[in-house]
Amino acid sequence: MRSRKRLSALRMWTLLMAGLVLAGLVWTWACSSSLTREGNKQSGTLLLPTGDRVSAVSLMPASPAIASSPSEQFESQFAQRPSPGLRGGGGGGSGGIRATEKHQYQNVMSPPYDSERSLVPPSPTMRSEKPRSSAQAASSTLSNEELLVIEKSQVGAAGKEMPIPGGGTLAAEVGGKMVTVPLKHTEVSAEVSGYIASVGVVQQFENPYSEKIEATYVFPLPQDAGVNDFVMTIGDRHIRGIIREREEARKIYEEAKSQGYVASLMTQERPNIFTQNVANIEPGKRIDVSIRYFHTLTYKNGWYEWVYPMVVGPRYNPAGSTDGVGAVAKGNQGASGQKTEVQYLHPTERSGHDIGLTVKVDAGMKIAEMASVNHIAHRRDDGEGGAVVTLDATDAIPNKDFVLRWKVAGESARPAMFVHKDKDGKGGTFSLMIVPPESLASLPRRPLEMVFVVDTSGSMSGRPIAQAKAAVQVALGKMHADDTFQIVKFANSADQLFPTAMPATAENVVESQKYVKAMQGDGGTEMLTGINKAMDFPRDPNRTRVVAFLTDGYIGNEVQILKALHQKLEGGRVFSFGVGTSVNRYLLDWMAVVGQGDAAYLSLNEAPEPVMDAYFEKISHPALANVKVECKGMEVTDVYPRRIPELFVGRPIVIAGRFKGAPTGEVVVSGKVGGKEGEAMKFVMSPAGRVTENAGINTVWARMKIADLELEGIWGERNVSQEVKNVALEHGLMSAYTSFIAVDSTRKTEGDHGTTVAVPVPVPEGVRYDTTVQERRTD
Amino acid sequence: MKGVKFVKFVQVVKFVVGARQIRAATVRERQAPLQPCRTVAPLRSRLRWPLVLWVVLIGVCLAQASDQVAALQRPRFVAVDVVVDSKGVGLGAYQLEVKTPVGTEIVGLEGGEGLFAEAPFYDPKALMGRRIVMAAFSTQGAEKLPHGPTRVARLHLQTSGGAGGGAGLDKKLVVATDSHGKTIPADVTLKIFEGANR
Repeated sequence: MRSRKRLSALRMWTLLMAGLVLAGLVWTWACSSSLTREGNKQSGTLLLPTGDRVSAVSLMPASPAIASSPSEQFESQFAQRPSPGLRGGGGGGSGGIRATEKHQYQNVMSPPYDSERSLVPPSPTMRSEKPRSSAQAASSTLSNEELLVIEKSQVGAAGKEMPIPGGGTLAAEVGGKMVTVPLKHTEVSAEVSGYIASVGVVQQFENPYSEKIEATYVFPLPQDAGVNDFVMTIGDRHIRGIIREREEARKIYEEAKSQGYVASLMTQERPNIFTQNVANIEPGKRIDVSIRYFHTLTYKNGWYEWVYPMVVGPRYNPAGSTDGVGAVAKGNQGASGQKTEVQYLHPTERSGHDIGLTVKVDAGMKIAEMASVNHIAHRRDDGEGGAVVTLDATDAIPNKDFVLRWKVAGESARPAMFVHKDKDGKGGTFSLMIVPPESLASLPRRPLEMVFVVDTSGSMSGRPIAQAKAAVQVALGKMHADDTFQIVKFANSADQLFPTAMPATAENVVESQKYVKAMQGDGGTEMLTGINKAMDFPRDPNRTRVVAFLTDGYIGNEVQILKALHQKLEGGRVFSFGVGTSVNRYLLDWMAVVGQGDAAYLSLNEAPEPVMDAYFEKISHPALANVKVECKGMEVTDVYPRRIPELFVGRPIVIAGRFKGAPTGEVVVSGKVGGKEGEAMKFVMSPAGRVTENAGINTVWARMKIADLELEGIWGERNVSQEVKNVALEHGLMSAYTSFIAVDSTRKTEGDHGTTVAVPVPVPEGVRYDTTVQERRTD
Repeated sequence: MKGVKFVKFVQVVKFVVGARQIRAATVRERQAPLQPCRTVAPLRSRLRWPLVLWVVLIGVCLAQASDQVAALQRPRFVAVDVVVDSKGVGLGAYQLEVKTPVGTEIVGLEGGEGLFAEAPFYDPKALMGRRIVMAAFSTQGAEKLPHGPTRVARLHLQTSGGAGGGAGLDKKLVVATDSHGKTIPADVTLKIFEGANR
């Protein structure tokens, strides 16, 4: 009887539990189905389907006018381009050097995924020692194993000829295994007005696989690029990205990715290195990501220069570093252990990714000369002072910087100013290019204590080290008897020629030439050891110490180097000298800023003599110091850079600031040489007549402010991250602390978020794969 | 009869869990006469495994319910269409603002239809104050401009907070103009986008 009661109780209990479970299931179902998609359409408020309760939100007051943004959109439709191969034509200019190098590529042909691509069939080896015209080169029979003939024509050849002379003229065909990558094409369209460029970049992602993928692409942009626009295009739909704090954007992206939504995220790894992530690209589908940035051009020695970097060079990271930029072989994801990683194609491989580029130049004055340093390009005149330059379709492999230079008619550059008024009429932004007085060049040369620091690491092996050695040899020949000099080389460790700086006597120069000649590229890039070696020996008080770093800058610890340089400067000046076709311009430029000097660049396709001439002209004359900008009749605030650098011969500087009220009055710039305040230069400009609709000035100013803050961060004076973040968010700019995110929330793709596929890139032209790219994991 | 049923129940349980103790108890029951003091102890042992099963079942159900709740609390993505009704006049340009509550983030701004297919520009500074101010214009002539309700943009949002978080979007049309830049009376409405497979 008792057991019956117990059994009965048991049944009741089990029934109760089953009921509870059932109730739980019903409740959960009810919860999930209680979400409604119908919004409340009452005036002023839309209820989102996130819950039952609605909080009342009052209307905001009428907003001010929308901040100006570029009104033009760039096209995202591009015709399929033929396989570019890698061929070039001879330049039409005079002078320069010819260099030869043999590149071998295996004839491993896998079926290309794009039937429109076709590689030129192999042919017998071609060997040519004579300079060739571009037409000849382009029409030459091409081979898989071929001698490259690089003919550098002098910068400054006649500009109206086509193709543009002055290009590194490359004649070769790259055979090799086609590698399928999710980045199919990049299209660049730039507009240059005066010294400000507006550049649009469209990255065309396409999923060639049978499964859904996430594509990641690490790519370069100019180090001073103010990226302020980001649009993801899916079919004919355009979704503008939103600027967010970096971590917040990352979380949104990961959430969208995990839920199956198409999303894209752009983050900044270095001021000149960015990562593009595109999630949930379905098989066969294409997604375009368009970005736009503004930046200022450099003007050196009479030439304006516009640069578009196409590939991130393989970086060396010191032992123990995890925050660097790793360089690994294709498919070896995570092998470097670095936060950012670039995958490189083997020299026998080629990806289908190519690049198209168009630059529209409005110089304001007649363009006297124009030259493309590394690429074959075509020029078409576009009215007075205008030109449209297009990259040749046969030179479309993104493995070197596109460098376009032009010279305007007349004498040297003149000071220039752009003013942009805010729409509310309460103020605006101005940008001013200050040009050094020509009288600087006539000042007597000062005795120098030159320290040449040559990077002899593995990435410099081959053509870069040959070019660096040639540059040092030229420089040694320019030393005066009252100069002293020292040569330091560094790779895994550093070594110096003399115990201390020695007079530039004939014997010492000969000895140094032998030392330079014996240099070879091998090993890591322990730049810190080079800096220590170059800066630590006693300084000659009677001479101006000039430290010239000749390097490609392929390191991942830039901030550490810049900090070390700042600490050891002690009155010396650093003139960085970038050697290569895809130099780390962020490091080189900032070394010059920290070192109160300047940066110069020598491509592998250039003759070192004219570059070195200009370089010595710059370093051997006194600079214009204590540059002051006074604005009379106009209230000016926030002028950047806050510490205006000294003006060297042939190198103007650009500053930017904000003003309140109307742009009236005049701007007076003055400086001193050798202690004579205000005597060396003084010019007056009226901002009233220089108002422009170019809203890029705002972006340029904000980007300069961020750079100035970041520099302050390098000094270690204070934590500037919050300030940088605020400026970037306020102006919708990419930065180390902000990212662009775009999510298409209209549709969930099916299945899991798929495999992550990194876009492998070629090593920069002239850089050896075997000495720079890590093929195995390091523990 | 009831004893037979009980034995069957034990056999079912034995089949399910394979409990040797129950088997031993059953054997002992068959061999020895049933005594009151012995029926209590086997009953407990017989109930042990069913109880375990129930606990596991309840645990699984609770876990599922918890997952459902977590899924509800997980951020969700919603698209909201922005429609401007220019009431018979050609819409040449507009500027409007939408304020988002805490827990709702704008994660994309898409263009609308027709002449307003390009993604509108927005003021990043306003975004810091949890509102988006967007604007677009068309340079087309009056005859080509949309004259009625037109989807001029689509907002992509991420919402979080689950059932506990109230969420509402406030919208305000700052200005709408015709092809000559003259202000026109217009209304703006927001509508949740109904996707195909949401």
